[in-house]
Amino acid sequence: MARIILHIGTHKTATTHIQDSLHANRKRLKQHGVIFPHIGQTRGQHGLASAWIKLPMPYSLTDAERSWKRLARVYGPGEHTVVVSSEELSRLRPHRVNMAQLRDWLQGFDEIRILCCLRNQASFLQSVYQQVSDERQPGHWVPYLQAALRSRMVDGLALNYARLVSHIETGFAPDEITLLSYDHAIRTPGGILGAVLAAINCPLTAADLSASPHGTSNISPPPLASFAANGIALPARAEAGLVHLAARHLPRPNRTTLFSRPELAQIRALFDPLNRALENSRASVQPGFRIGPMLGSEAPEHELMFRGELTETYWIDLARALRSAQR
Amino acid sequence: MAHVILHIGAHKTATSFVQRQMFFNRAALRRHGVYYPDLGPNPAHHILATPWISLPEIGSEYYGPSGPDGLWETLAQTYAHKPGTLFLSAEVFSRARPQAVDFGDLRARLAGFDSVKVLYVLRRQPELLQSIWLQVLKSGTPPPFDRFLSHALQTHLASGLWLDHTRVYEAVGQGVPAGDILLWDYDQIRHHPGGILQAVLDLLQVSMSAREFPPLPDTQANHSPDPLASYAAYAISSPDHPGEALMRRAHQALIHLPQGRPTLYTRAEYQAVQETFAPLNAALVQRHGPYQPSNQYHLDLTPPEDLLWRDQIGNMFWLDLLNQMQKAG
Repeated sequence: MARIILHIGTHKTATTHIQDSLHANRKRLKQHGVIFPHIGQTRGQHGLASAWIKLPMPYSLTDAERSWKRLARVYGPGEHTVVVSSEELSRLRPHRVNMAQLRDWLQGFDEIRILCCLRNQASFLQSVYQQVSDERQPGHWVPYLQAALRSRMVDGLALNYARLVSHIETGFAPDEITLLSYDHAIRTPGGILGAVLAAINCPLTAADLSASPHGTSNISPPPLASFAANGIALPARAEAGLVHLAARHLPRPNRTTLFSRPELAQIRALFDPLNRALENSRASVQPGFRIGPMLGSEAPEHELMFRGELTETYWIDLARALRSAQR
Repeated sequence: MAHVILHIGAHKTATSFVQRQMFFNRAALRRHGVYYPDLGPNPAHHILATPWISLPEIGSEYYGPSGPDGLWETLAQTYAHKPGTLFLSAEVFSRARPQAVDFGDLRARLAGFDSVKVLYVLRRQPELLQSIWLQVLKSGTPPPFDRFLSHALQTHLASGLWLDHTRVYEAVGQGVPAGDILLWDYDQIRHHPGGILQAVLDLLQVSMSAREFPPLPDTQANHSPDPLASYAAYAISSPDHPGEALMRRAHQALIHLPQGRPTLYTRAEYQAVQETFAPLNAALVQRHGPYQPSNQYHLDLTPPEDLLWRDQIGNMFWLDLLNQMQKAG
């Protein structure tokens, strides 16, 4: 019996780490019946998304449709579990996957499953802002946040996960979809990788896999360092040196958040009910599924350093360092 | 009858404004029996403090052959037998350090006059202290504000000036009876119709309106810079002076501040000043009460409601300032 599992992210749920790990352990996984195919020039199979979503090189494939159909043709008749992983498959804007078409192209498999990791919206939103900061100048945080809350989208990605699930359901039956809580998974012994391995019914655990030679992926700077560096660098992108400078003067760099306390309360008020509604709607096919706790709601809030807690001393020290660096 | 009114400040109570107005209108004042002598090198009479206080910035050409003492003698000879009021004004008379005026000696030099009164304008200590720090920053590099404040709370002095007005009152009292000391609350008189100038004219019994005085050229006016912009710029540049460019950028960033009147103080710092000086002000009221109605100089240190505290600056001000610095490279 041939299965295919499409791990569609979402973004900022350790997808690069998962893809790097599965790619580095392809031979080992194959011994246990799991195929993680090498498609295109990346370790994740991002090129497959280019059938619908315009991607830059090296992510794009010249004929993604052909690659999808080849997967079905090569592995459909076999007994393997094929895992395909690209968070771009969960993008909603400016373009999105035609889920019905995708489901159709995969007819050759006996079982088709979508695996979708969801992260609490506050952490997700913050993390996207930081990712974007790596690539371009995202502008000040506050308007960025408010635009995201108005549209319930950030950088083309869904913040209202029910909307994403509805989109997936345009091609896949509800019981073909597995939602995974990123926040709960990272608190388990095997972490997110272990949770993904378990979700694809792989007999291996995270501890059985060798580390990726590409190291730990996408380590973000402290969020408040990104906040400060972006504001200082406007309209240019914040260079790594400036972000580092901004991080160095933070009193508690390990536990900062872009949010103010009222903003976090606003996020909770907006998304907690939507998340509970999604969980209820999934009860018949995935009973017990819960989206993880919102940022700051599990650990005591005093452990978090909010944006409003940046002090005069911080700014003065940073300004002096900036002035000194300029000399 | 020949009278003297000696206006001794304090500093930062619009003394320069009063002195310039009196100086440039001295001819008109003379017609009303008020004499405001031109002693050089500026519209004020700081030179008269030189028997007690060293003021090296005043060149020797301004003194007669008898030096500082000769100035006093000339004043007495010229005006002590002339009907009218000699108005002398120099805030340096209220200075505490490094040298102070000997008011006993000063009063003796004015013995030929029929009466001598001293006018001392009291400014509320939180504003006075802030204003002194900003003044020092205009021309030099003061200690950081928190250190300046802490020193002021311990010693009741700021940059050689008394914040405890009782200490000035006592120094004056060494030569001038309490009944001849006139205390004014700066905040009250500046909100008086016609402002402090009108209050002075009224005191001198000049039947002129301050509005009749022609406007003065702005070049010598002593404008105070914005407290928070100055604070931020100097916090970044100290121990060096911030310079014009950084000050300008800090001023530009002020558009991000919430509504309110900026102050150098955090709420807690202001409260510390209030708690230190309110009892001292109350003691002065009790002491001088028998000689002058206390409502004319009872300083209320309650913070105005529209103050914008330093700890309310917020991230956007700093981000804008640092953004400007970054762009300037």
